[in-house]
Amino acid sequence: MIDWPPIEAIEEQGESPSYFREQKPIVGLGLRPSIKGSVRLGEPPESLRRSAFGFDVHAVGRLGIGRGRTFGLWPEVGYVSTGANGRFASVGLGIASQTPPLYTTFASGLSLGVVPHFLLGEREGARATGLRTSLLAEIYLDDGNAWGLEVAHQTITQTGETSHELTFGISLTWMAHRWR
Amino acid sequence: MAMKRLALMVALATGCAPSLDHLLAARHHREAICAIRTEKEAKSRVEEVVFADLAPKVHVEVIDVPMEQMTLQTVRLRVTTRAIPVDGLDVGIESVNGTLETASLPALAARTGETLPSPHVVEPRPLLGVVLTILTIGIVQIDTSKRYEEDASHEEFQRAAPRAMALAGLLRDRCEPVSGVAARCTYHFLPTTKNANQPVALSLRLTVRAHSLDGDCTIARTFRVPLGDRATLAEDVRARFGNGFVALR
Repeated sequence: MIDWPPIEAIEEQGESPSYFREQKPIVGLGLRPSIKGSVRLGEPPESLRRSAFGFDVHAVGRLGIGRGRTFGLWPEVGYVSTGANGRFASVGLGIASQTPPLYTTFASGLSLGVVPHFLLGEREGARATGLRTSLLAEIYLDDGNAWGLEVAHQTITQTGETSHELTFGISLTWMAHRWR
Repeated sequence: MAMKRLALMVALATGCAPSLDHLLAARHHREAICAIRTEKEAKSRVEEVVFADLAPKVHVEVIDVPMEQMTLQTVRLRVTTRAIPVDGLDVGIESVNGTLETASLPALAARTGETLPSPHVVEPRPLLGVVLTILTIGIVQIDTSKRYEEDASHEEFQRAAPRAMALAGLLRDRCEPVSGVAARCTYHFLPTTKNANQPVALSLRLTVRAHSLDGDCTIARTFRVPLGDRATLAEDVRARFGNGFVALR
């Protein structure tokens, strides 16, 4: 019987990139309702309480670019009720380190984003503007929806006075439409 | 080198895919195979490079196996490939036109004129399942309330068809362990009387796999291995493969 020829090996040159073998990130549009508690920093004006409860709802985009854990753009447009008679329209665009839903550990499944929101509305009957800078941590579930925690710093300027607040919130990001 | 690595890291962090040229030139076959899922036009290029690296070769022999009062003509096909940087390689072989059949136990028993034992019908024993459940405090729960079929034992096969069993042992298909992802496999076939006027040929399908988080990525190519005419099979095979392994293209 003719002998087997020796098995030659084709070697990979250098470490392989891992891009096409990674999962595609979430690209979708949805809603992010959230409940919040806020604490005012410094001495608040007489008319305002030191703490308040509020809620907000944003139409959100989660636009992951690339594969696996990757860069993402997080646009958000919505309505914010800060409590203490504050009502604002909110527009923001953030950047994120985003992961797909499938993950093996808690840390690997955590998406983190920083989203500055411009606020325009009224508080205590007076016109007010503000900037809420949110640090958002979201855990995406298998269905592409996510639970999130939000910590934000918020400045509100009203009749020449500026107040600073820290806001803590819990949110559910519901991806109504996903392309990926 | 450092600049190349930096460029690759920047490209990955910003979501830019590595170029197919780079993947293929550096033999990053796993990535290249999975790239086909999004870059369909890359399929033929990736297949070209991967199967060229795999370089499959075959060797075929026609062997007359002596039986008690006759000889059994068998076809032995050996396949070998290079080892390539992927996660899996499957080899599938089929007869073209039904001119050959695999040397399975039923096919061999048909040649030896032996009858293989039928499966046993196992009658339901509902009480057994209940007793097992009670004894194991519910840990073991087996449904024994249905009738099912159980294959005959090895001893029964041995008693009913000793010659077919001996041949099956001799003509067992097998792959030898090799270092890396490569094939070194042997397959056996029996000529049939079907389509006797058509040329005898085998088709060999190689499927290369790469694991990804979204499931396996695969590419496959089918190679036709012509063997010759049924009447002159031994001579034709000797003429084609007598000098050693032949590369498939």
